[in-house]
Amino acid sequence: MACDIQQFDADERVKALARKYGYPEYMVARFARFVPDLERFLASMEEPPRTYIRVNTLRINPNALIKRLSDKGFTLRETDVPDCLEVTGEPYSIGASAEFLSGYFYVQDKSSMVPPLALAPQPGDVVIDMAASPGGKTTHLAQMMGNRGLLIAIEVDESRLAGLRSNLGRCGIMNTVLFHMDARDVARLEIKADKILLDAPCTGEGVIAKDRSRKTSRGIEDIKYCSGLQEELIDAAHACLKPGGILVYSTCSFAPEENECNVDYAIKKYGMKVEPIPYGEPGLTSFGGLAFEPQVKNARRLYPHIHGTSGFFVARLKNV
Amino acid sequence: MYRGLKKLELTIMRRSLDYWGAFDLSKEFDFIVRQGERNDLFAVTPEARHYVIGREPEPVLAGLHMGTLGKKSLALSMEGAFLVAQASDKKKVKVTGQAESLVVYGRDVFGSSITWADESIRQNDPVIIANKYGEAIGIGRARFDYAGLFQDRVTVSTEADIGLYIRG
Repeated sequence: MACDIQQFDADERVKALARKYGYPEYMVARFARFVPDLERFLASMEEPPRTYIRVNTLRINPNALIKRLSDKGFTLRETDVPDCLEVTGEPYSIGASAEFLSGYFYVQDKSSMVPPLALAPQPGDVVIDMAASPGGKTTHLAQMMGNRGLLIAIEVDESRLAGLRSNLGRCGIMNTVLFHMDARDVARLEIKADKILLDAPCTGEGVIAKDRSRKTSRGIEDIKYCSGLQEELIDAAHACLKPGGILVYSTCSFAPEENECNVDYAIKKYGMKVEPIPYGEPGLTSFGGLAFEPQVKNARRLYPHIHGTSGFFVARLKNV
Repeated sequence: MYRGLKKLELTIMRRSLDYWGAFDLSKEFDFIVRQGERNDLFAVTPEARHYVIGREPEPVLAGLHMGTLGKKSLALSMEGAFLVAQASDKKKVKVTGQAESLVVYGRDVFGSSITWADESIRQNDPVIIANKYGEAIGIGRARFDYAGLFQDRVTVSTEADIGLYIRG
């Protein structure tokens, strides 16, 4: 374990907010330590999440897609993220449109577009996506690589392979080789990567707006389990990363033990450097009894009430 | 196991692509075969091809599934049809926007909804069903030759469509 799970006493305000929004007290007590504007944050998690799409520029340019979808009655708005459009009105589910089926766009949260942008793969790179399903980030990486070079995608869960395969096909991806295996065994693939995306399995606190059951379906033990697994995945990723290579580590959890704690671990164990990312709020430098390396603040947090996205954490780590 | 194409397979692939008017695709991409009960053809980048041939553990997917190689022809997948339709209008029918909505749910094509068809189409030919932009939305079979395609009845049977992604 990189660090101990932090727990705090719940004061009257925390207890009242936990009751009002249906959270366990321990969770709100933790949020209160680092989330800006706590009540607005909790209220925002009760609102339906916004719908975003990423234009698949391998197949169509954004203006042409906007025109085609507008002709069908969809209204779209550009965002601060390249190729990301917010769907502000839909006559029917945009995922049922022929343009979706033809792979012209991918429906995904805006926050999910940040890790590939942070990794910034180039056409000649060897890239590994260590937890690929359902394929939103994988297809984004392939798109950024111009469908060239080599992208190795790994998925451990057999039940998720079919969806991943169909998304790769739908989006016309040619540069990707998909393995069904535990990413902790990535060394078996005998390859050194220029860039690795580790969008790690996590407790999913950040997607409560999409799945309210996560307020109570995950607990402290899950944070502990995920944190340990994430550390093992960082070890596996580092072993396959070229000198000078980049590892982007991300989760859709708010828990510092799943985020800053693991970045701090990568810095201390491997001497990795955290490089800046132009989105979101700075990473934490402390949490309860935990103090992190100052450069951990270069990591980024995304919050629903500030950024209009799911909750997310992203760090870009250079293997120096 | 993934491997390169044998000489006969290369011939079959080229002949099939030529049928669709897309012979040049055989020179544009690298191709590999996954050998099994059926031989699936994939379009890949040179780097992916180099990495994947003979690789253990075997990947579950490598590149874009173009279709299945039979003894005489390549049966296109929808992904393969999309590439072919981008390259050529041969053996293609274009349908109205309303018909597009039906085809992507697996419905057959009425002649009255066909706005354009390739004149080389003969009865029983495999055809690509395309939207008004010429993009593949389905793969079908012509029930009539070109002259009979525009009758007010089903004239093209839909055998595969892009909606399978969400229905499958």
